[in-house]
Amino acid sequence: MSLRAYVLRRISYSIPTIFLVIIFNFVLIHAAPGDPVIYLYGHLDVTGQQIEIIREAMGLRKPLYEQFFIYLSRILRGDLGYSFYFRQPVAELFAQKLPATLLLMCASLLPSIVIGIVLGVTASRHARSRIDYLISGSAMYGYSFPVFWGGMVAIVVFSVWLGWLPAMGMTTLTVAEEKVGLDYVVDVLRHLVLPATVLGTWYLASYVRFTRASMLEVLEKDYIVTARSKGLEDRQIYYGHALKNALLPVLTVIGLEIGMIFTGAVITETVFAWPGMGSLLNAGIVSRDYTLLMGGFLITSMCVISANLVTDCVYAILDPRISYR
Amino acid sequence: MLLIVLSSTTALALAQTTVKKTYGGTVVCTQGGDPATLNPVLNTDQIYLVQPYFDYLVECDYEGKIQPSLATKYEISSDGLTYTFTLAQGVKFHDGKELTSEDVKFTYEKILDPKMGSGHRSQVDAISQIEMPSKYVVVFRTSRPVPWLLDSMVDIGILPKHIYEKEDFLNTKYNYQVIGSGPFKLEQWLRLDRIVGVANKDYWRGRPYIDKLIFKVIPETAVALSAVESADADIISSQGTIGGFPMAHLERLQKNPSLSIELFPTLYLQKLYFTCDVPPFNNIKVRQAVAHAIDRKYIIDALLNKVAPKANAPWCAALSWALSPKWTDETYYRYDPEMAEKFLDEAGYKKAPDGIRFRTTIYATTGFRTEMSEVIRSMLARIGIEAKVESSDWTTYWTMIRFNHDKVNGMYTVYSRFSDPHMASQYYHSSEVGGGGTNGMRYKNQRLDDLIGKGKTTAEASQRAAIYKEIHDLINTELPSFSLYELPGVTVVNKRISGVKSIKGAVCGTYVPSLWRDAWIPGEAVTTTVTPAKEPSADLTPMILVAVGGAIFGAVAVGVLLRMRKPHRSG
Repeated sequence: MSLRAYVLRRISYSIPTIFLVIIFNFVLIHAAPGDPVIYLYGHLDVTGQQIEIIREAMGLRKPLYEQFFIYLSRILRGDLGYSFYFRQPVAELFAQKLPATLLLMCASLLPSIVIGIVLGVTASRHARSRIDYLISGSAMYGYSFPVFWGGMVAIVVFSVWLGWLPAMGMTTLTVAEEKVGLDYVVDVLRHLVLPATVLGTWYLASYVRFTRASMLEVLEKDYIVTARSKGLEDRQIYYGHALKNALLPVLTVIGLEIGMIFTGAVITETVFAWPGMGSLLNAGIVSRDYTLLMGGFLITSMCVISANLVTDCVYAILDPRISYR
Repeated sequence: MLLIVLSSTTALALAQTTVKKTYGGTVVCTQGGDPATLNPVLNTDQIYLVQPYFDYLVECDYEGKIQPSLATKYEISSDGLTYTFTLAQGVKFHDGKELTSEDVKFTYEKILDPKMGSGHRSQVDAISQIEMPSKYVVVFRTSRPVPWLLDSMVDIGILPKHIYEKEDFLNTKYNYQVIGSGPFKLEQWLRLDRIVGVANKDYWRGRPYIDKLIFKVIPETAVALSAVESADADIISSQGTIGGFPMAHLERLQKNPSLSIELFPTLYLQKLYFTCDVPPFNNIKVRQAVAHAIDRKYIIDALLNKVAPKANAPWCAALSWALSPKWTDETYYRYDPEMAEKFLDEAGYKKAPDGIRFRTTIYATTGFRTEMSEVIRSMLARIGIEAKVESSDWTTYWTMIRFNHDKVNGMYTVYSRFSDPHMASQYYHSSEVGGGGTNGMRYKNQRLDDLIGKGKTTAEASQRAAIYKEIHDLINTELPSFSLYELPGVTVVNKRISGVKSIKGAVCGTYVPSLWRDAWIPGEAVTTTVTPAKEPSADLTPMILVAVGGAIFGAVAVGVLLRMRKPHRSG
């Protein structure tokens, strides 16, 4: 079967998957106690009777199945609906938040993929030597520290004590005039350093560990012995023969991370007040913003599905033994 | 002739100023959560975020006293049923249209419409008629005297009728792209990121000194503090800090030479409520025992850095006219574990062989109030009450208290703001039990209901005071709720900004109005830039950075992949 036919078939499979995801999300979100009206009015001296009037106005008193079909028909028309809390179209909110999240995720994911794989190979090359212990030891540490805590420590050290880098946000706000052009880009990059490093360290550590483990397994294979006996250079053995085969499990992990590209940084974004999708979804959960959450989950699941698809295709490019069936 | 009347506070402030203030600069305030909307009819929670963009019929001076504002003059008839406001002339909305009595009437009608779900409605629902004898005069008629009406009006910004009347009021873009007549114009609101206001150069009372006012949303309080300490932001205050200001950090902040700290009384009160309709708390002795077992001084010292005053009433001490003199720190359930044990024995909750009298639950929202509940739990353990703390998120918590009565039995912690004892009393009315009402204590008392009803319809000051003193006595004796302490207000400001001052007590106890009344930035050069209003839109720079980075990475990745594939083909 050709690649194109394979991709088309996979896409047709994903339609029922997405439908199931919508149903599942709807049920799950409505199962949580409370609703947006309680979040907004519960603590105020608004009477119970008035709360019911507001619910009526927001369409929350209709039976659940009716609410579901109203939502579904809107989704099919490509309308993600109106946020209960933000009182703004959901699509507009996501469009506003997307760039910042993409920037943060790319700045932390991409370098950590490259550096992580190189370090992982280096560690496996010197397995059980000092270099290996140093690399896998720090990777273990980097993988286990909570991003939340790491972020706080980074802020205290680099912003409050040393004053080198800004503590939060994406741009400097205290200046009289907004920065433009190159100044602006430099400003954004300065704000990017801490969150991207903290988040990137975590990704980096996980790639180092995966690559190293996978490499060690592959290095025991017969064809590596053959390659060595052929007298190939180390570099060629490690990067040419071993890594190519060792990369497949790593690729799976990368695929999963990229699938989570919109939601993977929720905690980091919260710690650094980074204006991305994370804070939006977080606020949606707290305020039981049904439309916002379902929109977010829908987009995320579509990302995961397409990232899986891409991963599968890259698999086949990397490993000719895999054919599309 | 264009008549501009200055409010007395602004006039006073100008008279006292000897320094020549300069214009310009940006002030960045930290803010814990993004508001749902900046529409003053719909936002009753973060009024200080709405204030910069609107005008109000009346306002509070720094002492918390009501002063004329948009209404340069107001009169209340002797029977307390007619309020006449004379509006300033020549007040323009940010789109250039003049503000008239039509707009005032429109705004209040929206609040009174129950379908709009305005949180202000319960405070002004006695307004029965709104008349407009002229373009600049509005007359409110009420069905009964409403002594707190002016207090409520401090919170209600006037909307432009010509913009909102054509819109679906609940779901219009003007709820987040608001147009008002206030000292700042909303330039840009990036949700969960920042709200940017620019000085309204044509403001009828003179433009603010600062050019730009930014509320930066920082969800983590610890990060917001760091931002102020590293001068990435200028102001953090108890207003807008989720879960309350972290008082434990005050000492460190006080040592920071670039920050100035202001503490002031507010109208916020922390209480402990009991569910009064089921055992064990249906027994008054048990409630009183719990009150005697709680060491309020310890809570204030350990958790609040010793700055909070004890509360001995169901409302704040600032409402002193409504306080019964009977109650002091000594007479209001002073810390006495022995007395508590005696009361519990009398109530029939004797100690079992394992030392436990009964088991119960303390419900709290996550964060500070959970911490406090843990402290209370350990205090109750000493007298043989084994309590568990159940911590839940905001929405779950309020659903439980208002709707799932059958599931809640024990105590719960709430802090609320009461600008009038009437509002505080209403929480104890039997009509608010069940159906999602506010009386989560399920406390019913006919005598109290009668008094609350009387308090609501009485206008004469001394009679009102007498009624609320009686309510104070009744609630303190019956104890459906135990008041713990008054929440002090805190404002921490970077010293580069001068003239930031908080409004004491008052309706919302905030520093925000000082940002256009008096605040200025001495070091800032005079700027004359006029920033054109922007539509809130996505910022494209990150996208471009992503695209460039992604392209480089993609090229490298493709190169690597192709190279790797080669040996296979040949081999």
